[in-house]
Amino acid sequence: MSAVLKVSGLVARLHNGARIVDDLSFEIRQGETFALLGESGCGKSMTALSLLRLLPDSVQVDGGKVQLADADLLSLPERDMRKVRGGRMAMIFQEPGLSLNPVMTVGAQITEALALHRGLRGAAAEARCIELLQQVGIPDAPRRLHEYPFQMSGGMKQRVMIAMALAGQPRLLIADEPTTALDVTIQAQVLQLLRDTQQQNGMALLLITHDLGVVAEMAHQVAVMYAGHIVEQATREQLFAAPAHPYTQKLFAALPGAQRRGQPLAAIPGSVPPLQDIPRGCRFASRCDRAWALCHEQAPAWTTLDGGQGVRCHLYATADAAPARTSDAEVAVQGPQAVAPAQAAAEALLQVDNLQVYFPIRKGILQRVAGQVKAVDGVSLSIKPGRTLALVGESGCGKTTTGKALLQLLQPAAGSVRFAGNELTGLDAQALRKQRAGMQMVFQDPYASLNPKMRVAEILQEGMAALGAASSNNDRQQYLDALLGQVGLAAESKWRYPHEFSGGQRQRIAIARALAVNPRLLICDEPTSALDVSVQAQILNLLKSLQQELGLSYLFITHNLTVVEYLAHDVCVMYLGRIVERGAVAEVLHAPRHPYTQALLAAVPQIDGRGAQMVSVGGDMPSPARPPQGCHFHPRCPHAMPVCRERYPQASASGATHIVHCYLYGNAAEGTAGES
Amino acid sequence: MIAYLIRRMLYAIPVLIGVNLLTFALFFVVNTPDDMARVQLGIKRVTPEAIEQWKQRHGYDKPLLYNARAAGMDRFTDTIFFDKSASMFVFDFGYSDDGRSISREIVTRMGPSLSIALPTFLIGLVSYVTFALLMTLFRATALDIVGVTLCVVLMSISGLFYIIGGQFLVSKLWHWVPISGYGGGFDNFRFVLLPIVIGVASGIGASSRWYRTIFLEEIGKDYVRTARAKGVSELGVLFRHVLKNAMIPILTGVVVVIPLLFMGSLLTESFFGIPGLGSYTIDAINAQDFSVVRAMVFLGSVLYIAGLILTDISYTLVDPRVRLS
Repeated sequence: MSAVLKVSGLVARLHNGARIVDDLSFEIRQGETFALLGESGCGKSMTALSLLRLLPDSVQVDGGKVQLADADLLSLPERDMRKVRGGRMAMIFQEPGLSLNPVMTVGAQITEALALHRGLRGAAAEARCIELLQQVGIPDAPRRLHEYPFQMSGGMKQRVMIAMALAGQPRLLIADEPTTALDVTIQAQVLQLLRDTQQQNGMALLLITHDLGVVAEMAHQVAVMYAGHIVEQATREQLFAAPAHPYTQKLFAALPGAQRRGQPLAAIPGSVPPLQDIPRGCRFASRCDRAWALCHEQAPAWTTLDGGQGVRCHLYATADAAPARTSDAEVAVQGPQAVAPAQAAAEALLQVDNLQVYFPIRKGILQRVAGQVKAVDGVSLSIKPGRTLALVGESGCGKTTTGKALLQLLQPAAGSVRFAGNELTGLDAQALRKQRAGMQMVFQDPYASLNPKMRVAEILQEGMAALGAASSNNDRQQYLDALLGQVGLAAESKWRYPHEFSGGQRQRIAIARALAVNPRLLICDEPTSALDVSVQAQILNLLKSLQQELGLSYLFITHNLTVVEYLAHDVCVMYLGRIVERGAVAEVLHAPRHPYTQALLAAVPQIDGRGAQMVSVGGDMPSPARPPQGCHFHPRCPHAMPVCRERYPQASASGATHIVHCYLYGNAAEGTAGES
Repeated sequence: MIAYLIRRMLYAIPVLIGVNLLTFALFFVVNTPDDMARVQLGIKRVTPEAIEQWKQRHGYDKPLLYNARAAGMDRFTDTIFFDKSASMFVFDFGYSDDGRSISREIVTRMGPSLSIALPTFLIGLVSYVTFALLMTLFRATALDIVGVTLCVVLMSISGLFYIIGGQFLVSKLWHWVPISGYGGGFDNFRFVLLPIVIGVASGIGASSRWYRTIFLEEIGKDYVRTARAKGVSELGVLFRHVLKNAMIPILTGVVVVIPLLFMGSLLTESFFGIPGLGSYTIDAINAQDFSVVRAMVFLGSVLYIAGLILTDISYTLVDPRVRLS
């Protein structure tokens, strides 16, 4: 197979001289998927944009060669380069919602590409456009052609993006985090589509991602990027069997999962070095536990191992000089040992019964309430002291609304929330304030949830003052220092502003803010989904050790099942405002009963390097304003029966703690009996 | 959408009543009916009898808001406020103090006002957007920097300076057009040219700079990157993608002033001697003619509310997200 794209010695610089893409060389062959793996800020998106010559104004290519088939892209005049973009080389982006023009119909946007590269106009263009939409699996294409992007779901929009990219029949498709903004079941559908398309037309695919799972499912070749360099390159099988670079090894070790329960994750200490101040030696040396003097002085050269695996590390170049390897096991046991989960017999700290949160839909001249969006529709759950309950579901299922309603930040329409024996619903503001000290919230995006104009000390004290926990100034300062120590930050950081911290450090501040009033329950709303894997591991370790030290309970709201597997004791799976399955982690995740839970689990990419899985569930989540009749999941369910379309299934127990709402179990008989 | 518009129009009623009450209160706080009579009669003829007579003839001899001597509903209806203001809700503006019908005056003066304001608005909008597009196309080059500097200089100068400076240069020194006045027919072109040019020039700094900011914000968005990745040229990006999106905030900001164009401009009309509604208002304020001032304020608020409703409608026309959801 011939190389479609050949990149050699590519360098991209910021205007201040920082080399954000540094000496990159790789080749992509026809029909091959090449994955560029790295954390945020490592230069992987900039690499893609330099290939298309679409870098932002502040960055420019400064050396190297990019060869697409026989064309030297970096020396092409702009006119010819425009023919390459979208023609021989197309790109899809991370946020399909933002990447489509909001005021143009999807048909017009695809037709634009067809006109530019295939010279199609009018009826011919429309016919081809419909073909493309059908090819990417959009049902009812002739009608959807005239829709605007906002009328489509995220997965549909990404399909449109793909259709648009395919319009020019490219030989290389660059996909920049194509599924990061999508739910896991939709991610599986989009990845499947990319694979199918590649098989049909034999194009090469440059897949840019931070997700080892996606790499495991998609890639033939993998390059791992760190701070502008490729530090390792191998075939998928090689990489997943034996990662060579210490950074790659750490990335694998930082992944949460069932097999790591009870032990701390191998977080990579520190953060990526600032690019305007790149160290002389190996860029990873300061965070590497196997670095020695040479690593800090001299940048390692590219070394090719047996079997073609390449690595940029002194360990392999001068193997005899390297100090003995400290074993991974040794590193792993530094943290506290696994805790036995708190006694199950203890009384529940938080008891929620039949919680309902409705948002009214108003219509007409007088704004009468015409209907309800049942965002949370009869959720019951309970958390015992010292335990973690995970609330799992895809976006829009009502899990965040549930969290807010528990704290009474939203007024529930019905139901009861009992915290430590006290009913919270219907309390007046003053009584509620007293109770709120007991439960605190950690939000998803630490970049948005901390006030940028307040120092860390002010952020921490605000909650304390509001809940009357502060005493004398001296005590308070000492308390703050202790608090920051507890979340792993230096005491001096209290005089700094949030923007001076990295994402992981900000989330530590957010946790410290929540801990400042001595809560017994933390509601963590996707606390790690905005963070890189290595940083996510730091935060998960911190949450776990805080639980052991302080006996905290967590309500962990997340869409990430591997995090649940690692951290939680119990799980509730939510779909369209209702809990469809609940139970202990082992029960729900290892013996899932509800078809939705099964679909969710099947859609999670596996890190075993075995390659692609089949998609288990199609379609999108319906709007909560118009939930389907009967069981909410039945339109997407492979096992749907007539009874599923009529009535919502009652709970049926399949173990002491394992409960599922599905006609396949228990009350299925009752359902069919009623029908006959 | 229809329901929404009806609701908006219903909201307008309390707003207009409030505007009316407020104008009424403000006017009579600084200015009693006696003061009005004195100004109207002139110093020489002022006697207590003459004042009473004037007030009686013009309907200012009643209490302002509440008539304690009347009975029943008349307590509220037999007052100056009710007499003079209530009829405005059916657009009956009554007569000015010199006895002319205000409604007729408004209709005849709207033409001259529009003949200045409408071309100023249209030519202005096109030239501001063009100038802003040019700066966007040449962003981060010397041309852009010169353009922005020019904008800041232009917007820092008072509008009065443009009028006086323009009249001095163009009319007095160069004798290209008359300094002021207004005529009929095609000949009128000579009179309206300078006010229009000056109107456009005085707005170019602030507007172009604002529009440039909107364009730059749009051009940094992800969908623009997608368009470039499709192979669209920079001009195509600007005209097919950016312009349409940027026109949403620009149009909706601009539509609100369209109805107010009927009112003309206070400054321009007075300086150029245009017999429009702007100069009418200024003259009425100078003459303390309450009926005219009140009518113009009421008309202004009605037009402003109409502008806001038009804004809502224009949103639905240009933005499919509003139209279809």
